[in-house]
Amino acid sequence: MAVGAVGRFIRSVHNKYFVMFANHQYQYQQAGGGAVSTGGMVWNGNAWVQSSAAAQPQNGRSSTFSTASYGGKESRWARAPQQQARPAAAKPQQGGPPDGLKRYVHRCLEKCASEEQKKQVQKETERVIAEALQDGTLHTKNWDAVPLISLPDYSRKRDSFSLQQSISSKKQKVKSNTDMYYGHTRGGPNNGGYYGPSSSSPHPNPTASSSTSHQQYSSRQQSSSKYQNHYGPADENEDFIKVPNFGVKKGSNKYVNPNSAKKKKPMDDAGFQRSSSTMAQRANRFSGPGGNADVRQATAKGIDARYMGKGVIGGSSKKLDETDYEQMKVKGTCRKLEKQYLRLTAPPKAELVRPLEILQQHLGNLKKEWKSKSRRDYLWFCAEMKAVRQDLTVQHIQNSFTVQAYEFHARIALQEGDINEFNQAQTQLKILYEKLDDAKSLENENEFVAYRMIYFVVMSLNKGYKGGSSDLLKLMLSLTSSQRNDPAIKHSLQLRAAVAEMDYHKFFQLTKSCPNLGGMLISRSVPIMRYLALQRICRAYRPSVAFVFALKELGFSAQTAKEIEDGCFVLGYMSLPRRWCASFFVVAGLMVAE
Amino acid sequence: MTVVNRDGKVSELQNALNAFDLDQIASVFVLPKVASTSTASGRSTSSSSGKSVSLQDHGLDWSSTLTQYCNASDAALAGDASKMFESQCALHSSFHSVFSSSQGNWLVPTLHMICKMTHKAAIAADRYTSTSASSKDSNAHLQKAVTLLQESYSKTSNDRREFKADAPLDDQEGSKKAGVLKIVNELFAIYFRLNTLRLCKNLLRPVESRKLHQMGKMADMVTYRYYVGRLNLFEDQYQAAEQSLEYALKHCHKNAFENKRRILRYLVPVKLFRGRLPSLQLLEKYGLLEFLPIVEGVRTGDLRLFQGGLVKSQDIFIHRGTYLLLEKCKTVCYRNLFKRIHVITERHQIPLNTVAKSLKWLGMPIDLDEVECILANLIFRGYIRGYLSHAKRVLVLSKRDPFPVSAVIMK
Repeated sequence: MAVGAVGRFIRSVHNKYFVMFANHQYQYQQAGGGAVSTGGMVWNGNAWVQSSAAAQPQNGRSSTFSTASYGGKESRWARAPQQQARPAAAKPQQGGPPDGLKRYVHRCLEKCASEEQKKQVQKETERVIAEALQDGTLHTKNWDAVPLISLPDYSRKRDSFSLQQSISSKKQKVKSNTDMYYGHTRGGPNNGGYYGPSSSSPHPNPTASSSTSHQQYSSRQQSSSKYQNHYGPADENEDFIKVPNFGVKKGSNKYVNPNSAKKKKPMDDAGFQRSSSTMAQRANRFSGPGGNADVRQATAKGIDARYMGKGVIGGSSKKLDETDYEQMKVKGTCRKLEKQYLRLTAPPKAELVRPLEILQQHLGNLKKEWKSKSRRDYLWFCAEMKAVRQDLTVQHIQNSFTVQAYEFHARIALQEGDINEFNQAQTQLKILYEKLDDAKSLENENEFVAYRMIYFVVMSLNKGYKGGSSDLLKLMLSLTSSQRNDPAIKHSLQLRAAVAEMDYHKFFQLTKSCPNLGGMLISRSVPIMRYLALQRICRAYRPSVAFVFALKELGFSAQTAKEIEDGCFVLGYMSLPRRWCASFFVVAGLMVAE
Repeated sequence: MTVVNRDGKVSELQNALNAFDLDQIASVFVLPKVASTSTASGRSTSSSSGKSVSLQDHGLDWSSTLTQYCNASDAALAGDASKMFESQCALHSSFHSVFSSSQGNWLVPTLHMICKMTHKAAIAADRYTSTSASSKDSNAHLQKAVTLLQESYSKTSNDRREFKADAPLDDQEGSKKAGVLKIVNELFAIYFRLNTLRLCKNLLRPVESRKLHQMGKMADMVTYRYYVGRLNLFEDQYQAAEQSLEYALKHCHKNAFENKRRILRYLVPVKLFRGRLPSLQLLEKYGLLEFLPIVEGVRTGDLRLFQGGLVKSQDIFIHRGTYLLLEKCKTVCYRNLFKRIHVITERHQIPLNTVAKSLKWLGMPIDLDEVECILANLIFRGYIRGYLSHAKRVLVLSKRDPFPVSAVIMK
């Protein structure tokens, strides 16, 4: 079994030393299933145990080694097994490269971006291991805590860094206020300062000093360090941009990093220290619980396989049934209301996923917060909603609450003009509406069907859209007769027809009377329609046209002189390609201004 | 329960192979229709596959192909559409190996027949298992059929031998490319049914580059042009669509009534948009009555008739994908309406009130600003030569040819 593990390890880590090591062990394994004696140690298939048999002379071992099929640096490593043999003779130990060591080397090599870096890091790791061997601490050392080898030219883009820095400096003020409450498990409405500043929080903050020093680093570092590291090493990837975090625990008991608490280096190089030791320490933060070690373990223990069903799909002929799916689902146990959004890179851990009641409570709070006067900005809401959606997806929760969550996200995206998020949310909503058929889930379906229609209309006006009209047609086909009578959908159908015919008059009338939040969507195509309509007006009306009328036709409300003037300037700017038209409007505007 | 006579089938195939009658070989693999469950007298679920038959001929092993065919036929006669489809898939795959190992292109008709059967079986299976409403599941069989047909396509298209268009199918020299066009047509049909039209474009390029669409049997070429015309329609390339569909119609066999009808369903909207109206007799002959009110509306400028016709058959048109095109014909309808008004009033300056009056009479009251908007559109597009005066609320038409015909036709 250990051989298998080591074999896998070989494949994942191209490190010559371990090839050698594995061969070394393998030879002993091969020599027969039973007891194999080496230097007083006996391999009983699981571990090296001290045997009472006479200790073999050390030289015998080394000769065995030299026959190992390892080319290259034999001279370098020839001594190693002997050195190991001596302490091995002294006390019983686990066989093979210890797990911690494997993880350590793996972590070091993971960071490498290029082959060259890999080679250099390999050399470094070999050196470290050799040292450990010489000291005899190979097995006793806590490899999880050893600082990682720093990469040789760890070049990061400067500009992304300064951006981070500016973001972090802006957020620092907010951070000091708002990251107090995180420790509350049941925030709720009773806690007045749930989302606002709450200075009176009985929150343990043992590493406050380290936190302030951490604020000097870029926010990227902060978010990766202090928060759930489960979601993959975050600072290694240059292009990994995290949502600036608000809800980060300032000081958590869990993630005490003894190294980082002590260091308070002065800032340099845009706040990012590049010395190899600090970088190693930084990388080391992932060694805590929930960090890389846990991820590795989770993977090794087959949680990955269980979650993804790897053990069953394709692997055996057993058909998946309900109980298997139940096993594969994650049942959340986290009780904390807020959560930062991080893309999953490994199977989710149950204690980090929030169960349904918590999510419901959270959504209720978010809704209240959105309506309140002094709410946070949209980005924060977006991040929270993404986290909520993630938790729902991971737990396979698809009920009316999911619909509510997506609807809320879609609505706030619309209000803020975030078309991408809106599109994501609305695609999911479509799937949910099809799947669910209870009245509660479908109560807002028509509203969103209308949005969908308008979305397609907007897209069709967009020049870059190559989708064609098939989506629109499909949507139209799928409307039931009751849906066709729904006011929102009727309105959107009329809008579609107006755009198809280039009936700008009706178009602008309809834009003004858009139900729900459709106006936010359609306003995206207003400039294009204005331009097209202007073309037609200019072509059709000779010798002149009252500009007020023109403005009205184009959807401007030309009540006051100021508005008229503004409208004229907008049009003048828009019609720059047609000079005479532009000057016409500008003159008109000037005239009004006088 | 009726089963197919396996030994009879073996001898039938043997005879056909001996006679080297290509069509006869193909006809061996015709599947019977799926019996409706009422007539099928008891399905025996225990016998999943009957006894296998064996036939070797000239180094080609037909055994598995023929066995699967018999299974499929049995399933069809028993009324089990999905099992029939499964067997048909197995048959198709095993035939692929036979086809590849054969020399020349004498097996092309057989391949065509099998492809057609797979297509039909998929449709039948989907229809029988269409319990769930979701569109993804209801085309599962068809999607499997796509994979098989794509493989057939690649087998025929990747043959290295040079393709001689008029050479008869033989067992030595012939290039398998002779079979490409028909398979491409089958694939088109499936893609249109599945509404995955972008996949069609991948097929266009190799066929056009090798000019395969200009040689081969007329039937295949007509079908090909029909689908290409529909594809052009989908992408709003109306002129190309008109050309392709016209070609298809012209060369369609005079007895192929149903096919001509299909072509016309798409040709009429295209021509309408380009200003050519079909005669009443044509519409009646081919039963294209859904176009009647629309055509009449456009001819006389009768907006109400046009709009009514469009709404009534809305679902049909949306399903075919011609709805948006027909909406565009509304412009022509407006143009004709204004032309009529101009002819009636015999003046070059038409007060907009008159227009409003006529629209009200039609039962579609539109306010003056909107009328101006419509007219502005027409002027911009060149359908009307003239200009509007907002202050005077008048449409001033050009003295010379205010309603140019060329604008409509040229589009």
